[in-house]
Amino acid sequence: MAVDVRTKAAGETSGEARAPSLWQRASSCLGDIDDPVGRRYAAWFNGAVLLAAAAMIGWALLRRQGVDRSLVPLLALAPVVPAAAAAWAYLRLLGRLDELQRRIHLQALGVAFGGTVLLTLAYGQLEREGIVPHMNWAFVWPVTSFIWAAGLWLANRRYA
Amino acid sequence: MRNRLKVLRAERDWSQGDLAQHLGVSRQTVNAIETGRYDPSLPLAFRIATLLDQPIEAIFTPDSEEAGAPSAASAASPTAATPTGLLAASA
Repeated sequence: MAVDVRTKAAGETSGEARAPSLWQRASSCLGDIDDPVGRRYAAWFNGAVLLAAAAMIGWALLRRQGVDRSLVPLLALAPVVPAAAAAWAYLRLLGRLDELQRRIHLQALGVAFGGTVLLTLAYGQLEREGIVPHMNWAFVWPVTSFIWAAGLWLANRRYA
Repeated sequence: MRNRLKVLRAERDWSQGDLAQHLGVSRQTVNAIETGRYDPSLPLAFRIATLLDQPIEAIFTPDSEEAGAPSAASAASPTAATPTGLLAASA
């Protein structure tokens, strides 16, 4: 018996109220694009990460111009708030993933952990010997995030 | 593992998204299973079998066997293990 094997185009699935926005599509690598709640957490995560990065850069620029000393702790810790929001959104997203997506994220986190360990160990050793300049600890998380994103992209490609 | 998921899905005129929704997984997972890039867990395999009203072994087959072909164990003569078969063999 001949069977017409068809796969409907994205967005034609039953039960989806509206199509994902461009921002949500860009966040789709984090989870299931057909899950509206998951898309929301992914979008929150990406937005919070960008906000944290902007806060770090903004503070780095602002402190050069001189700021009232009483405001320094508050402004210096400003990136922590969106970073905490990103961590919350990511944990909520993890709880909604299915078995394959959890495997993908586990692989990405493993790559990020291993990559961060190797890079920080190597850089720390070189920094101790004065071969490379001193690097603030606050720059570890962007490096980890970049490695994690690369691991996530590779893992998603593996199962695509 | 090989599987007949794509064929069984098409027989019901379901998209990957429809099947994913029925199973409570992502479309990515359904696609990965169909393309053989991912083998489902046992609970998910049972959910698939229950949804499609097929035994698991009718949907999933090891790579060493052709899909739908009987395994080496089941291909053995049905009479060989019976008392009548044993008596006939010793005659």
